[in-house]
Amino acid sequence: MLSVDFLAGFTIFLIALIMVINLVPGILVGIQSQRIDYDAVAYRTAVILLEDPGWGYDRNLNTSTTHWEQQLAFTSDVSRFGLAVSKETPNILSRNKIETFFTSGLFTRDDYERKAVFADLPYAPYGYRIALAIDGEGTKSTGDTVPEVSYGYMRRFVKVKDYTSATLPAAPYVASVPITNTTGLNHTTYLAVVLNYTELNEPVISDAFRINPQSDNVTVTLTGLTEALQATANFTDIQQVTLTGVTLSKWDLATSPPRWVNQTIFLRDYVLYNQTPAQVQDGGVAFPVRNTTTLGLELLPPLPFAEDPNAVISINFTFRYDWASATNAENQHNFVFDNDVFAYSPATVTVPALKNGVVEVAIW
Amino acid sequence: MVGDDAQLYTIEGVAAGMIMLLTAYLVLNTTSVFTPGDVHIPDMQLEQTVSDALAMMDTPAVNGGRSDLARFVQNATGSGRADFHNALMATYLRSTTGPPIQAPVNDLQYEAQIYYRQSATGSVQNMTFTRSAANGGREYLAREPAVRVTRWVSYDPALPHTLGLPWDNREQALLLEVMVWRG
Repeated sequence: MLSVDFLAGFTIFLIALIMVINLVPGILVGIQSQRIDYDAVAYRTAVILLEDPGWGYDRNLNTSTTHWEQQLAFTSDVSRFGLAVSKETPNILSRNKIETFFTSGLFTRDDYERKAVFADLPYAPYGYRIALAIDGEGTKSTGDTVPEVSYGYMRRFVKVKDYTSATLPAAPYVASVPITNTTGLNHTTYLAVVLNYTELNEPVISDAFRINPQSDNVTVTLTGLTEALQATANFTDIQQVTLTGVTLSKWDLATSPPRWVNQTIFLRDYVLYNQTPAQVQDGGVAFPVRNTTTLGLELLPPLPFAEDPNAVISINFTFRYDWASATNAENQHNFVFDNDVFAYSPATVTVPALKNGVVEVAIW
Repeated sequence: MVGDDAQLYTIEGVAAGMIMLLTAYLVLNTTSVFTPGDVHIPDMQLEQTVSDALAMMDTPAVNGGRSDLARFVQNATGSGRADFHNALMATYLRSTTGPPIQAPVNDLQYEAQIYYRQSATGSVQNMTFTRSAANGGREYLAREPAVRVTRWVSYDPALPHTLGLPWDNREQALLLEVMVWRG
C-alpha cells in the first residue's frame, strides 16, 4: 500500500519534471535571425545612397567634401557613397555621381560593401545588387547575381538632375568692320562667356535647379559658324579663321577700377571639340575654324575659382580673322563675334527638366 | 501512539517546497522569445515606396514650376482623377528597374481621399479622389492590410482649377491620403 508520503513526494517530483521539460523548447529557439536583417540593410542602403550626397576627402583643398565623385585619384578617399545632389534635396540625384557610382571597374566590391552597404566585414558579408533605371535610358546596376528567393528588397523613386548647356547660334553675332586705310588684313575678336558665381549661388533657387559651380558641368556650344560667314557676301575673301585659344579671366575687384585679369592657370578640366565631340582640341593651341560648323566647350566641375562664392569668371574664345585682300565689293570685312559677352545664367541657358527614375536594392 | 501531529509539519514543508518550485517556475518562464513582426516589414517597404511616389509627384520638373500633384488636385473633379491614376500607377508604382531584381508590382491597388477643413463650420470633410477599382483595378479584398500614406498639397484658387470642388474657395492646404494594398 502506497503511503501518502510517497505519493506526495512523487507528485512534487513529477510537477517539477513537467516544468523543466516545458522550458526545453526555449533553449532550441535561435534568437539571432539573419533573414529580417536583409530588408533593413536594403532600406538603409537605399537611404544612404538616395538621401545623402556622400562624403569624401579633397586632397587639393585638404578638406572633407561631399563632392566625392571628383576625388578619384585615390578611390580610398571616398568614405561614403551618396547620389543625392545635396542633403537638402533627398531623392534628387546628381548625374555625375550616378555615372561615377555605376562605372564598372572603378570601385572594387570591397568599396561598395564598406561604403554603400556597410556590411559588417568579415563577419557578415552581404551579397548586393543596386540598380537604377532612368526614364528614357537603360538600367544601370552594380553587384552580384540576385538569387531566386530570399533577399531583402527596397524600391524607391528618384528624380535625376542633368546639367545646363548653352547653344549659341553664330548668325545673330555677325558683325563687320569697314575697310579704311588703317584696317589691316587681320582682325582679332573674342566671345566671352561670363559666369557670375554670386548670381549662380543665389540661395533662392533650390539645389535641385541651381547651377552649382562646384559640382555642375557647364557646356557652351557655338553653332553655325561657317554658315553665318557664308551667308555674308565676302566668304571667299576670308583666307583663314583661327581659334587662337580659349582663355580664362577673372573679374578682379581689388584693382581700381575693377577689371578683368587673365589667369594663367587655366581650366582644370575641360573638353573642347571641333565639329564633333570626338575631335578634341587643346584650348591652348590655335586651330583653324573657317569651315567649322560647331565648336563645343564643356567645363568639368569644379569650375575655376568655384571655392570663391562671389567670383565672376569669363571664358574667352579668341578668334583671329585673316583676309586675302584689302578691298572687296562691299568695302567691309565680315566676321562673327565682335567682342560679345554672353552671360551664363539660368535665365539664358537651357535648363533640362528633372527626369524620373526608380532605384531597387537587393541584399542577401 | 503515533500521532498525526507530525504530518502537519510534513505538509507544511511540502507546501513550502511547492511554493518555492512555483516561484522558480514563474520566474524562469517569464523569459519571452521576441518574434519580430515580419508582417510590418513589407508594410514599411510599401509605405516608403508610396511616400516616395507622392513626394516625386510633388516635385516640379523645372524651377518655379508647379508640381504635377498640385495640378492634379487643382483639377480634382475633372481630369485630375485620371491624371493622378496614370501618374501613380504607370509612372511610379508599376515601374521597376527590370530583371533580375524586378519584384511583383502588378497587384497593387489604391484608394485616394482628400481631406479639407470647412472654415465656416470648422469641421474636416473628405472627398474620394480616385480609386484603382474605378480605373480597371480590383476592390478591396483584404488579402493584406493596407498602408496609409499622406501628403499635404497646397491649393490656390487663383490658378486654373475645375468647377465643383467641395472645399472652400481660398488658399489652403489639403491632405491627400492614399491607401495602398496588394490584392
